[in-house]
Amino acid sequence: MAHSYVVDIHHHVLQSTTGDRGRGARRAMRETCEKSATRSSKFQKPRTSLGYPSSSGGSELPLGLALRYCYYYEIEEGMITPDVLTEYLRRIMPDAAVTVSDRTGTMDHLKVMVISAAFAGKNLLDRHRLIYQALDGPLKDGRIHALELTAKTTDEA
Amino acid sequence: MADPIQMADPIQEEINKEVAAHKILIYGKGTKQMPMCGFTKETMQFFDKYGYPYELIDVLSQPTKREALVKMTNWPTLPKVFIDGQFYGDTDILDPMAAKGEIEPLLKKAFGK
Repeated sequence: MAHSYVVDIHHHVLQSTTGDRGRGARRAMRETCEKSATRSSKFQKPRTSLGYPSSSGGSELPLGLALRYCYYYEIEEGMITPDVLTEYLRRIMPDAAVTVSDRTGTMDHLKVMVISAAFAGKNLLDRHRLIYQALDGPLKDGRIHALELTAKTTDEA
Repeated sequence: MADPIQMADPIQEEINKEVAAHKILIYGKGTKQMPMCGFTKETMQFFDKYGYPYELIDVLSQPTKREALVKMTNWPTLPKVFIDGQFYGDTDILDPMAAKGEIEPLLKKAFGK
């Protein structure tokens, strides 16, 4: 029984599976991402072809090699920097104090804390909607893949 | 004859039915047995703590339904959680609510306990 690892495009082993089940799971995983927005097909296609070894090839790429392919692609497409992300947020919330931490080392699974007076009087849902709205561009083009958000007013921080 | 503009979108109808049918509903990726996304798994674990039944609906391979859900909730990401017909976002929203002790009474009320 062959043992295979399912690796997502962001360098973690999501789960390991065995035999034929693994093959199906890997195919499904191509579409999978964490808390992601709908992405453009332009972005998804090359990722898939570079990020995953073709199952018709018979043998699978060693884990390390697969990861390097993904990494190469990330750089080619351009990653978002904390400064650029902050810029996007300040277009809507000029006073925003932004803290970004990188969850995966790939700068696209981000933990973002935003402090802004714009959140005053808004519930958590609407605060997060405001952030998503500000980051709509990088979410849609895939520069940001997943976000974990904290939104506070200056008083709460 | 019904005005076509007034006619309900079948996907929206389907979503409305699902939201009404389950007190706790997660739209996510994968199944309970095999969640295909770390955040979907995290959301399941969140509700496991409370012991109430919840439903997970897999929309991984349903872009049209995902798009309808985005429009309906004005929320771009998955998973999406509904409790008692009301949209509650994801664990970024639920965790702070839990910290304030708001989840337990909300679920009690939803399940009529």
